[in-house]
Amino acid sequence: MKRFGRLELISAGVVFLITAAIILYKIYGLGYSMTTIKPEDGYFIQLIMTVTGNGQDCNLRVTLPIQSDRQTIKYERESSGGDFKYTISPNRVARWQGKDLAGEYTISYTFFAQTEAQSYPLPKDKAIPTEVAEFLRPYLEPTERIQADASEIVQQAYALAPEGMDIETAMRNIYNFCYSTIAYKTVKGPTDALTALRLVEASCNGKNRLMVALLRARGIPARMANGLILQKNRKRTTHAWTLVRIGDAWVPFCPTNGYFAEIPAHYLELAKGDKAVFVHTKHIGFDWRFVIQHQLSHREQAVFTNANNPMNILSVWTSLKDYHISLELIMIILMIPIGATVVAFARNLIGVLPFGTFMPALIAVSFRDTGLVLGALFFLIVIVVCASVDVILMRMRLLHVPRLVIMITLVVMSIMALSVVCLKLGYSTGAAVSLFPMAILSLTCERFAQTVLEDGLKAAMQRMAATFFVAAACFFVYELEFLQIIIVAFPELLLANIGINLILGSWTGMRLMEYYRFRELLRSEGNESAAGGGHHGA
Amino acid sequence: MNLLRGAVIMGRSIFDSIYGLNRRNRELVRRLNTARDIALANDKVASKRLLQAQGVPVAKEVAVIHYPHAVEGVLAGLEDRAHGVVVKPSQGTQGRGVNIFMEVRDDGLVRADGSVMSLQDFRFLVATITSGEYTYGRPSDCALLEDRLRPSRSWILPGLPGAPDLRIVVHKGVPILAMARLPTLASEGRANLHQGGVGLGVDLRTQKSTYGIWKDRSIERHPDTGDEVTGRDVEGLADCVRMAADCAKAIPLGYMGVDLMLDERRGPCVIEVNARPGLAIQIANRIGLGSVLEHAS
Repeated sequence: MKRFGRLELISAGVVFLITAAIILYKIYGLGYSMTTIKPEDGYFIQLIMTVTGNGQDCNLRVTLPIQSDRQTIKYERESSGGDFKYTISPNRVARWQGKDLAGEYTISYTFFAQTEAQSYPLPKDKAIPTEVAEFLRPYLEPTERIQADASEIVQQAYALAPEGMDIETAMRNIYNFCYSTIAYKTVKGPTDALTALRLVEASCNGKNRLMVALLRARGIPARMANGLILQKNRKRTTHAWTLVRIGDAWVPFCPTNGYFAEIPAHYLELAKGDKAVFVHTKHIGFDWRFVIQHQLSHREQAVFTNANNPMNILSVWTSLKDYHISLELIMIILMIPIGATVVAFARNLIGVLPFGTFMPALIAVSFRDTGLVLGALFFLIVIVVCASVDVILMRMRLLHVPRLVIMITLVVMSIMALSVVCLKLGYSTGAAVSLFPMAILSLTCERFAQTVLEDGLKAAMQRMAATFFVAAACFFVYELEFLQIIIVAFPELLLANIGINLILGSWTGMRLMEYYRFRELLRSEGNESAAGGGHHGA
Repeated sequence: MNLLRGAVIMGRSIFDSIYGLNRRNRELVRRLNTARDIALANDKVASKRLLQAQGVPVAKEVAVIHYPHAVEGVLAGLEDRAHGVVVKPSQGTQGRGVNIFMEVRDDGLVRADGSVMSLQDFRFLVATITSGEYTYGRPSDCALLEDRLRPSRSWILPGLPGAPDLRIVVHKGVPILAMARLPTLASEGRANLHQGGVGLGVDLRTQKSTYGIWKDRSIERHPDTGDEVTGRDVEGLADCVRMAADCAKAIPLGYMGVDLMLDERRGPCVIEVNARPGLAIQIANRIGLGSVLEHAS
């Protein structure tokens, strides 16, 4: 306690009490609900389609995700700017119809999906059924691409699952054949079952067609499913897996990624059967992509749940139209003081000295868009490139502010170049680099260059490493979902942030690094104290 | 049991006596130094004038330049051009922007290594200083031209690769700790510890040097000259201590560092005062500030 200021401890205590009082009042007095604030796992998915026409009419059909016991679809929204007639059929097929289309049109469909993993125990020692119910007959039929009647397929099917074998072993044999024996190969366009069998290799859709064909040939009803693998990503591919009728259930198998009688949480089903997700009029330009974001909707939910409460300042923003952007922005703004606290801990508790006072807290914000590794890499590239130029400019003795202008120009140019390179290479997250804080980057370059000139490259690299270290710490704090949600629901927690810094600001203990710096003194001082006290003094 | 208690007490006394940056900032700088006095100490022109008025020997002020176009006039009016001149940003820190010239000639100013800075480049240097390049967070500054001292290179230790200086820490008007800073080849003739200078504790009572530190480690001999650093006489230390106390009268900082050099003609002179003197002085003296302050009071 001696190392803390008494006044500061008392004021911090008061601030904490006020914070707690407000939060408790909000929960018990105003009915803020903690349960709805807790994260609800899910994905915010945006399907963006572009249609390019030359004056013709256009029909576009898309199979939408369905509700099932393992997937919930919420908050669906469609926007096509009034150029299309939009209808949804009862079996969840969306249709966009446009007349006399000329030029490029963008259609977007957004929804929030919650999916669960599910696994199915297979019956033990049960024979492959010989009779199949009437409504399952279509799932035994051969099709153009699923050649269940081809003799090679029938032979292979019986080799894997001979007469009298139980269903579990039969399933395992057929699955293993498609998963392991058939090699995975990326192929453009669809592969049929027979081709997959003959080449002993196939892409995702070929593997599944073969699996369905083998099952059908063996009298087991099966069909394909088409969907999306949910990852924080932009996607231009769908994924296929197989559904097999075993007992009274359609049991999922994925011979591409290795899921036996189970479906992982990140699979979203869009269509059943060997159907394309997208069907459109010929001779029009068509392109599509999914933009998937993990759990974006929770923060909205957290706020919306409490938006009508009189004390939530943030309710002002929720009424704004484009609340996605502004809510994200508000959340980041609310998190920055917390990041600054992380920096304060690093400086005053550990003794790490990054560039600038709050630079790491601000740098970490930009990592949220790119991810830590890519962000750090970009940062390093930009800084090394620009700081080298800055060193030259300093040697040319250019004055400070114009030099900074050149820095910011170079920073913008290198960010643009990096973005372009990333997009060309297919890393779409690299485009997010355009949100990098240019001014901060320029200042960091400046500090880096100055340190190189004054204290040498080694010292500059050390401080750069310290800056990254602290920025990474801030980044991990920013990414704490619980913190994100709680801060949006209870912005008054920033008062507690003040309290924490009142305490930290009054702490006069030694920084961690100072134990190293003063190590010899600590040793010798110990000896002298033992020998009878200090000898200095005026 | 007694042994354990003894260890705890001893441990605490070591811990309590060393000042880290947090403690220095809060218990010394913030408590004893007002923002106004700190600003005064950082302003070399104002503090030099105050020190001079107090009778403290300092490098003589030659001119203060606020605008680069005044450069020619000032140089033309120099009394002793062969004597050289030092240019500093008045509010610069860490020695940034300080330039020492051995001689002023018609074609330019001669640096210590013999190279010549043209008048045009010199005007640019002054423009850089006055535009605030070296003055953190301030839009403008002025350039201070002062008399070049002839600092002794054999103060404390003979044959050094540059001029040593002496830092005296003054607490509430009382000089409490001293440390000599000796340049090395690694520090390129500069005496700053973080640039590779040697720190050497000086006992104010015995007036002799005590322990040496170099790059955060104890040393017994100077890394370049090989001379033993411990037990050296510090010529004029009594005068230095008196001057340091006088500095505290002129600039009322409760915690300050006074930097002095030994001029070959004038004896000890104050170079500058510092409102946030560093903590390495504890290592060089092998004593924590806490113990020193306890004895002082």
